[in-house]
Amino acid sequence: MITRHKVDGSSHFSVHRQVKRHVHNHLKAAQLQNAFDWALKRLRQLFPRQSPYAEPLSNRIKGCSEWISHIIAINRAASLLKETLQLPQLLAQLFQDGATYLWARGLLEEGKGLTLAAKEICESHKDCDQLLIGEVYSFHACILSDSGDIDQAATYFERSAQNRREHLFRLKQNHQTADMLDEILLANAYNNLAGIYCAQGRYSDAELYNELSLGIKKRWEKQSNLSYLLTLSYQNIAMVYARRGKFDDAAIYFEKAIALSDPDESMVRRALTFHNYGSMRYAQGLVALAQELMEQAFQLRWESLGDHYDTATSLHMLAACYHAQKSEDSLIVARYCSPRLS
Amino acid sequence: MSKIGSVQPVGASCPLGGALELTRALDDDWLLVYDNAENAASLADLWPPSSRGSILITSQDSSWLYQEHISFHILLESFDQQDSKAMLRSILSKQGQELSEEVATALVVETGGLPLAIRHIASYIRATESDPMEFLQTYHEDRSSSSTVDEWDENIPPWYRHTLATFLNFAFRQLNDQSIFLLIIVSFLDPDCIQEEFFTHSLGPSELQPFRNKAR
Repeated sequence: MITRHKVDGSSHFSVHRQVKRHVHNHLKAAQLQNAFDWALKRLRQLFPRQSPYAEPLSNRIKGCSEWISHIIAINRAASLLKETLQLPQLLAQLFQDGATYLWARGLLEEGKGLTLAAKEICESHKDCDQLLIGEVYSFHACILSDSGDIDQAATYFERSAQNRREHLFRLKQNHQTADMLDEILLANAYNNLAGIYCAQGRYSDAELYNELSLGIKKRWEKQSNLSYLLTLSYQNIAMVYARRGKFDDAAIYFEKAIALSDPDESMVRRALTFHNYGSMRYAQGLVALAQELMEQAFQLRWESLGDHYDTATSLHMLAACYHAQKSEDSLIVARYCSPRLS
Repeated sequence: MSKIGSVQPVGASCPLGGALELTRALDDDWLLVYDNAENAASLADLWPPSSRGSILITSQDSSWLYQEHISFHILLESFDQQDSKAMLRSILSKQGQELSEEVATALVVETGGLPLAIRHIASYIRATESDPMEFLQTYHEDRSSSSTVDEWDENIPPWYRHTLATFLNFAFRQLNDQSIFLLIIVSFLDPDCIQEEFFTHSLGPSELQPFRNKAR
């Protein structure tokens, strides 16, 4: 019933779909639940938890894409067996991390499926961990935002920020001290709010939340490496300046973000900074500067994301720079020799 | 087919959009293969934006036959007796088991010529080192005492689900608790590619507990 085979030199198993269906339809609920719980705990051990301090889980983690395939399969099974299985909060956390991974790779529909399932699980548990709920709302908002649903995304980012504020208020009421994680999660929520308000054209609100977020991060900067999170703030601030036409101020913050970002640990974020900085230079008519920045953005995105719409966007911008400079040979390369097709 | 684009294996690690966009970008005809597709709904978002090429779908779900956008279909028949016996013998011969004509015919009748059922039954006999004649006897007894009504996917042909479900019910009853536990875990995962390390890497005592034999 289970077949063993080799994939890239390592042993793997497969099971026929009819056998899978038969197991789900014929075995007792208690048997299914025990094995389901075991599988979830095991996946949690093997699939790393997304850190609130670092770039989303990347392909560099061994077997990441395979663990994700299992998480997607579990979501489908859980949906089919929702009358039979009890879905623990641990599953919501796994879905949340799986969605983070999918989002980073542009797989928004699959990612949305997981965040919606996570949200449903959280809302069905009366005593659900409030931090987990905040995280799920926040990430659901990220996916909505990237899917173009900005207003709905703003609603979920606001719910997430409110969730964090209430958490800190409860700690205070109970005479407990908030630790770094509690405050950093609030800073991340403010960072997200600033980003979405900027996208909505609410620049004053965006500036306010950028300042609040940066203030919290600066307070904890000496106790931990917050370079990735500070980079997010600097980039957000730069974007607001750029949108308002304050290009020199924006350039200072773009440079700060680039200087602080770790070339190895946060390639995706670094690439985004180069891309946004390059787009601003292009809008200013400084095409040669824009080209240099776009070349770096494209290179980083190709190395870290591969065949991804963000990579294509940087390539498109690069082609626009070549076109504006009448660099025909380079334009041909950019237009027709996308690495995806080479 | 003059050109096949080079793409990464399509899965969670690679945006499916990339493969679909590739079909739009190619100037030549293309062929896209969806192997072992579940049903039409599962591929709804994965239909290429270009009409220059062809799509080949293999599936066990007969509802595909009624989809408007399917131009041609081939319904695969069961194996005839001769092919069924050849497949049965090829699996059992790996362990040096010979089958008499009489036993081979009886086994093939049980499978209805269904390749999946032949493979399961032959693999089962091989794995348990059963005598094929004894297997048949136990199987007949088990089947006649079983009142299970199968709840298979409604789009699977009735003869198919009956044959296979009967065998799977029989096989499940031969498994111990630990094997059933393992099978259920596997049934929740991506069925095509389950890493061995899922069951081997750094397992603690609590993870191993369900797999230990219980004192009866």
